[in-house]
Amino acid sequence: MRSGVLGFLRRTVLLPVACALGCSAPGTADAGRAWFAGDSAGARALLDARLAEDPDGRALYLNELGVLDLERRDLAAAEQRFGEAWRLMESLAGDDLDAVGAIVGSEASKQWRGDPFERAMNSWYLGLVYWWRGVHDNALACFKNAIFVDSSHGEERFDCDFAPALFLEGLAYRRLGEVGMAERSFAVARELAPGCPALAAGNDGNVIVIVEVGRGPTKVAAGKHGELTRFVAHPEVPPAIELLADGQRFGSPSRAGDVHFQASTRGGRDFDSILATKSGIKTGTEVAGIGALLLADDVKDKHQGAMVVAGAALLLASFAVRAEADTRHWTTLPHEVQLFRGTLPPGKHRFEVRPGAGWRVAGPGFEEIEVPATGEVLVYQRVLR
Amino acid sequence: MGHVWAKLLLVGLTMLSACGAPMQRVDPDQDDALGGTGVDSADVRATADKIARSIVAMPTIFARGTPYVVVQDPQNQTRFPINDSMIVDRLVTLLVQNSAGRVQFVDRANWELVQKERQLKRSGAVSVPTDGSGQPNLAAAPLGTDYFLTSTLKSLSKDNGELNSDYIVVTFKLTDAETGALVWQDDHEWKKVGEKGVIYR
Repeated sequence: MRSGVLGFLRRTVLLPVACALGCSAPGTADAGRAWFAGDSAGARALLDARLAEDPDGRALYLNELGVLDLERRDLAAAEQRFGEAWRLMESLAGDDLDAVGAIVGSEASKQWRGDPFERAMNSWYLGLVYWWRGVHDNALACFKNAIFVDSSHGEERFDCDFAPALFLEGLAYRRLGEVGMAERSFAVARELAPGCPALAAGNDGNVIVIVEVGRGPTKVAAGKHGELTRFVAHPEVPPAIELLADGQRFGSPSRAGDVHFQASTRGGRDFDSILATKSGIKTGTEVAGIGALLLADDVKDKHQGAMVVAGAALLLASFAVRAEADTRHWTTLPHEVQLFRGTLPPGKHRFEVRPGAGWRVAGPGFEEIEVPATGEVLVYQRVLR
Repeated sequence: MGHVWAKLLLVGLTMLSACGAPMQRVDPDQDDALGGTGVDSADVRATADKIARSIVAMPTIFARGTPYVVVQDPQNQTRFPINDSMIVDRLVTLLVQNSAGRVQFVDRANWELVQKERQLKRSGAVSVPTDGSGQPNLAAAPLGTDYFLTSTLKSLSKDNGELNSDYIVVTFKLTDAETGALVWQDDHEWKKVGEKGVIYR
């Protein structure tokens, strides 16, 4: 019975708090590096291992693995992973001991639920998977949610500016027979990306090509104690990407959405003020500790010992305060989303996305697509350096 | 006295260990502790229950005898990806179990299975069951329907960084399969507000 109570206390109080003070969540930077270097198997192995050992980062690992599933066109696995990540990221629960741990200790000890742009991208991918699996109403739900989470953070100060989600929302509405709603979504998408011919009014091509290009933003710590976060862009994209159908040039996609822009244009978080306070405490105790140690030399002998102890205690307290922000982020996201829309005769076609020199596609080099007699086919490819 | 303290300690420890129970069976009509403002089991059950009662309480559809109904999969236009066929499955179950055959359903989901079996029977590949008088139990054609039951889930969603709110309406329509007339419509609605944890804002 005694060991039961100790186990309970260990599980519910000691471990979360100790972990918050001492542990730092592993993140996925190494897996991302492996994947961008062309080592999908290595990236998968790293992510599978993390998935097994770190429940707090589960949504992050599932999202990264979902991108790898898309690379090999395993839609069933991608739906399962993005779907579970969706449920974890959309959860509202959170004011428990994990919250205490994140406030008292390191922010990265909390369950990872991503920034708004990461939640939007999770919904974007889940929507694409539902579309390809023929569940068009759930695809619509996901594109709507991508728009919602991209637009709603912080007293609705932001409007969604991710044109690809609005365009796909329009397609899904139209597939469900809601023509008026579809036209509204198409119009907003056009406003957001006026230079993208795929979104132009009157372009009713039956082949829609989504090309995700490059490497998404890297979240890094800034500030004296790492209490701030910044997104570093990786803006390299190939000068031109060629689309070929049956060996003939079909067109080139153009930019419709910028993931780095999505990441870097959000407002601050409520939690940032907690981190700022912790950073202030850390600096204050550090200065006071050093001051006490310096003064210890000048005071009378009988007070010297007390000053040294006080100074050491303050420095220890400063050391114990974890003010650094959580920099775990979804590493396998693209830098930008490009779109193309054109027309092919109904039937089977051999399709290829050919990036310029120094770039490659992640996924099959050629795909056989089936263009329907009515409606449209959605083709996807990821282009990496 | 010592026994009292021992018992209190035992009760306390039992309660503590229950807190960490990995699984508990809960009432599907109650909200769970996981939070969220989407569609829950209680919403599915309440919607199906209300709509089933509304259908059997409508005299119009019984005016020409037992109505035959084809149920279409709902159309989800909320921001929540869900298995929305749960709602109509539950609705049909309630009507089949409780309406004593007053409403009949045509199972179009198994249309291909039915067509294949009809062909097998008529080709002699399988035997033909007989009715009570020993005559072959064959229908001239599969059942046509009197009505289509369609449904849509729609939502209004808001977020202010701290709170989420979602208002969801599930609307059901019964359409005359011969004339296209809308003979009945009803809905079930709810609104939920959820607060995000302070560390996720």
